[in-house]
This record gives sequence, C-alpha cells and structure tokens, in this order.
Amino acid sequence: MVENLTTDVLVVGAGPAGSMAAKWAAKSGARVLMIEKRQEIGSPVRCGEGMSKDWLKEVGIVPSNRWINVEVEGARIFSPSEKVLEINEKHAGNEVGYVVERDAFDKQLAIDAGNAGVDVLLKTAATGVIRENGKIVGVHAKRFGEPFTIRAPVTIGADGFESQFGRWAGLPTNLALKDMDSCLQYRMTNVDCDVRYCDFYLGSVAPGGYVWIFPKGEGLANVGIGVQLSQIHGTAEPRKYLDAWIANHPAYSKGKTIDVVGGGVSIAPPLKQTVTDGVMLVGDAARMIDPLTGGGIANGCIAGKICGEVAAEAVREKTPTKEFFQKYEKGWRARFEEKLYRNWLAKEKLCTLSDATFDKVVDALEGVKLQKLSVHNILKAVHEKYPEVTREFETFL
Amino acid sequence: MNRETGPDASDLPDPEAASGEPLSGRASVRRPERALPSKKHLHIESSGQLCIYCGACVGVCPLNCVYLDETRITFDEKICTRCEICVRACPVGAIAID
Repeated sequence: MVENLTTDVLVVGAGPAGSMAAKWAAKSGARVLMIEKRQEIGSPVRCGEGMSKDWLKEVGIVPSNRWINVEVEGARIFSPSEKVLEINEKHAGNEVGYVVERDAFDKQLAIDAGNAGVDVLLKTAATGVIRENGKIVGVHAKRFGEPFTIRAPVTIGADGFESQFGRWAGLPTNLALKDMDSCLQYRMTNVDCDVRYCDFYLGSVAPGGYVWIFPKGEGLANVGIGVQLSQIHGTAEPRKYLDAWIANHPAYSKGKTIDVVGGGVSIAPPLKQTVTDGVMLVGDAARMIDPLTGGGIANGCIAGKICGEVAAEAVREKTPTKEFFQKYEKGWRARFEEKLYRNWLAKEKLCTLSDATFDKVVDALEGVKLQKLSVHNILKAVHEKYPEVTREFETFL
Repeated sequence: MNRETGPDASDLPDPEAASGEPLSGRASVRRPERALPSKKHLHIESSGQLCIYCGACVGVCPLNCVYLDETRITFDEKICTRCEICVRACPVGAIAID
C-alpha cells in the first residue's frame, strides 16, 4: 500500500520544463514534489538534441561537458536541389548552438531540482485529476502500479507532447493535423558529417517538415525527419521518407544505426490559455515548441522558471487561482508568445512551398550577407532576385 | 482510468475538429452523438516489435483515450472513434486499422 501524499506544488513530468519549474518553486520557498512515470529521467531520449545556448544563463543552467557533445558554428539549409545557405549560430534560431546528450541534460536539471530541495518520485504516473468544487486539488496516481493520491494546491502539468494532464484539467491542448509533426531519428555512426554545422534539408524530402543532421562527434550524428501529419496518409511514412533520404545520400547510406528515436512535435500557434484554478501547464505540454524550428527546450525552461516562481508565490499567498496565475500566463507570453505566433505564420506558408520555390529562395539568399536573420529580411533579399516568389508573402513585407 | 477522475464525456472535444481547423471552440467542447464505426478494429502493436514507445499516438489523440505505460500502449475502446489520426502519427507503423 502506497501512502497518500500532500505537498505545496506538484509537478507532473521530469523533463526540462518540469525540473526547471520544480527547481524554481523550491528555491522560492515551496515544498515541491515532482513525479515521473519512467524509471529513468531523460531516457529514452525523444529529441533531435540540438539547442541554442544564449538563454541558459537566464534560467540558471551551467553548461557542462557532461551533456554537451558538440558546439557548432552555425546551420546549413539545403534546398531540394541542394543549394546551400549558411547561417551563423547567433542567427540560427532555437535548435542551433549545442548538440547535447539529452538524457544527461535532463538528469542534470533533475539533479539541480533535487539539490534545491525538490522531492522526486520515479515510476509514478498521474492517472487522473482530483476535482473538488470544480477545482483541481491534486492527482490520482500509480506508483509501481499501486494507486494513491497526491494533493497539492498547485499542480504543474509538464507531461510533454502527450499533454494528458492539461486535457484532464479541462485545458484544450488538442492539435489540428497541420499543427503537428511525426518524427523519427536514427543515431548513426560511420557517417560523413561536418561537426561545424547542424544541417537542415527542406522540400518534398520531408513534406511540411525537414530532414536534420545534428553532429554528435566525428562520424556520429543524429539523422532525423519531421513530417506534417496533414501531408502524410499511410502508415510508417516518417520511416519511409527518412530511409529514402538516407539511401539517396552516400555520406549517410553507409552509416550504422545505433539508436532509434521517435515522437510527436507540436508546430501550433500559442494556446489561448495555459492556466486554470490550481493548474499551470508548461513546456511541450503547453505547446510551447517553436513551430518553425521544432525546438522546445529553451522555451520550456524559460517558462518553467517563471512558472515555478509564480507557483511558490501562490502557495505563500494562498491564492492558487486562475486569476493569480495570470502572472505566469502574462510572463511567458511577454517573453516569447509573439515569436511563436510569427513563426507559426511562417511555418503555415513554408509548408506550402514547392521544391522549385525552395530552390529559388535559397538561391536568392546564397552569398547575401543579412544583418539580422528575420523573415522580413529574408523576404526582402528574395524579392530583389525573384519578385514573383515573394508575391504570396506580401503580408510579411 | 478512474471513472470519477478521468475525463468525462462533457470534457471531450469533437474529434472531427482535429482534422480541420484548430479547436477554436474552446468554450464548447461537446462530445458528438454518433455511432462508432464498429466494423473497424484498431491494433496497437506495443510488444516492442514495432513500437518504440515514443508517445506520438497519445499526444495526437483528439479524445485523449490512448495511454502509454513505459512498455505498453492501450486505448479505451469505448471512447475511440477510429479516427485513425494515431495511425498516421505513428512514425514506425505500429498502429493499424482493419
């Protein structure tokens, strides 16, 4: 028989956003319990493992060689006819900077949370919410298969792409087909990758998404694909597209796969609501992934910090209400909502482009030194060479 | 799933909305009245031969009726409408309808 528990702040899910929220809630004085259904934090990995690095300091993460594989100089974008656009790391967005060992990264963040005083329970899955007078006051859970309850005035849903907790709590996190990607990745050794770059291949090789090569060391890389669900119809399409791409690229076709990673990625506009009485959502569970790049770690961690601080404050003031949680809602929105929305608009457009148009866009940008990489600047550069291509993008100019 | 704690019918969104526009009707998430396509069977191969336990099927289910343990995936036959979104979402083809 597992004992029922009570705590100030309950965090469901021990990924980066959950650990970050837990850590900052504990640092702000709350009693925090974080539960994780798996037996090991960070494993199995469900990630391309690329991330930017300029945000780490803001949330108190110290870079460490325990989880950094490679520091890249930039990104290379390949059009369908494999014209190349090089982008410096600073301008390349949410997925370029470090290539990391995600399981080690997640463990480090959980260690930081534990050191801040957070209690952690593994093999513990939430199975539903406890509702009293219409408010969420905790969760029903199973630990090593045995049912018990955890009560808390504040519950933070950080259960990743599945986003079940939020939906139980009545927050609509459902996605349209065009706003999600199905992804598959092989970690491959014996490949001819360039450790200076994260590579992205656009066009019909990956409908509505891209193929990525993120180098993890000499001869070792994550080779993955994301495809938009509205553009695929059969079964196992991501695997078929990825296998076809690899077969067509001699630098990778001789590679040996030593790990298979899969998962869903939201490429959605920002949610209208991420809080309700007693509940806040954070990270992938709150659909905070950048819809253009598919990168979610930075946004999850940045929002996680704000979420944890607001949770502790709500406990202190005894105000775990939807109204009080607006502080979190406004906080994360001020930080990156506009970018999410803009990048979602850009994604909506990009996933309709033909291979010929992709070729023209990348060709127009080749050799052009952009001061700042933005959708606006890119379109201006394309407009100068191929005005017909930018006609349909006038809303962005 | 505990009947008292799990999602009740009134919480569930319309699965049809998931294949078209985003669920904008955030206020009215009503379960549609209609018969299940009972002749179709959904099979989730989660013994490990195909399934990689990535959870894509769980996150895409518009009715939140697919569940992932560490090494087992199940779905609620009574709620599932065989919309087949999880079939598309599975990156390795471990879910089939017949």
